[in-house]
Amino acid sequence: MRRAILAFVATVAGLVVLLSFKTASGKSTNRPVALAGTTPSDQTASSDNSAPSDNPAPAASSTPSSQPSQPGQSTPTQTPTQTPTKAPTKAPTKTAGTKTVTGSSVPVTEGFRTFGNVQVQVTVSNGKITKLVAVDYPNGDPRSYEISRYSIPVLGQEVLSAQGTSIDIVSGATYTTEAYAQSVQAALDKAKS
Amino acid sequence: MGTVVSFDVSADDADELAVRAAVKVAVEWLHHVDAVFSTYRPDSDISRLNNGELSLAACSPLVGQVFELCSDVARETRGYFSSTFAGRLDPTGLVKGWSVERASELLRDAGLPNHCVNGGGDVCARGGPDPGRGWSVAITHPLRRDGFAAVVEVRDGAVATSGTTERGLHVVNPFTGRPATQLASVTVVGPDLTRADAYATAALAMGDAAREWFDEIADYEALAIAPDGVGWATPGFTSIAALPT
Repeated sequence: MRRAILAFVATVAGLVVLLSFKTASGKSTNRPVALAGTTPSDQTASSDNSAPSDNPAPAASSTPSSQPSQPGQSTPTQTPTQTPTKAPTKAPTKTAGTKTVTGSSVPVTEGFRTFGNVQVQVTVSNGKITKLVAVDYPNGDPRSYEISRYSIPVLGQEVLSAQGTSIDIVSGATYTTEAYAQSVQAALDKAKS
Repeated sequence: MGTVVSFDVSADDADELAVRAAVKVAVEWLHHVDAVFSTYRPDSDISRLNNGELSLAACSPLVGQVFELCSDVARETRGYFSSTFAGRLDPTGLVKGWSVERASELLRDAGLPNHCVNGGGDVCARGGPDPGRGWSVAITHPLRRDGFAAVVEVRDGAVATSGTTERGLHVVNPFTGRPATQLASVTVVGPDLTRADAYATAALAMGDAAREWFDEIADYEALAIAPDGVGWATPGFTSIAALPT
């Protein structure tokens, strides 16, 4: 028996954000299916790997090209249907079995307002996500910064726990979720290629 | 709706194609719901109904079903759950939980009894991820970014969280028209996600009065956390949850 984890953005037709399979033997041998061809490993994601949690702020300066939009900026249509437009800023870095890739910069929106962008850097070792760093997140105003400080680590933890730690699911909504998931998927697509 | 829905399905390797097919059907259902109910889409039935371009009878039959549910839930919550906002029909507060619940039913009916559907933090869980255990659902803490408020194990049930931790205070007390501020988040665990989600929103609007209100609601348990970090839980909640020490 194995477990499939399939996530997608409900407002974007057919967009698969995360897809991974886990052999349900009690060992955390999950591997993202997006990385087909890589070898599953028994490596367990430690809490240290939720690196974005501890220090999101300095990372923001590493992407000067993606300035968060100011709150109040209006967008012509419902933005969840918007597709990521920014190309990954970093080419995949390859060491033996380990890849670090940066996903697309994805706008965070609520209703007609855009609060900034989320961009996630994903490290994959032997087919397993071992580290997630948010290199950009909404921080153009104090409120957005507070929300990012809170939600980005939770999202990173959710991706890691989807790989087989003791928590299966997280309840508690964040609008940042959608943008985060899209950026992670873009990074996984990059890692695969 | 602009949210992320994730599917977590426990199944045999041999069933991978069946899982994909069932998830595809569930995804199509959610897109259909979005097309009918989104208040952000000018061409949705709800938008056209609000603009007088469509009569209720001409809407998708789903619209009537949802408004019937809305009126039931409004009664159950003493009017704290409301399907109108700023004078317009807006059943959004109910549609997410309801559509995720139905998506889960589609998976169940497709022969997948062990799965979990998470719609933007509102969770419908059936069976378990492995034989012998239910789904472990962690509840985010509205104030602490590095920890969870509680973990509940759910076999056939729902967990919904409503909070003010996101963009401002989006839950309004329908009696005062003012944003609800007494509680930072409310999590409701119960048999049905449609109600768990709507009850969480209503309880947030009620504030501390919700604690007493839950006494009369059978089968639903709640955890609430105030902006100062002090929380309360219904007696039933503490018996099913692992609370951090």
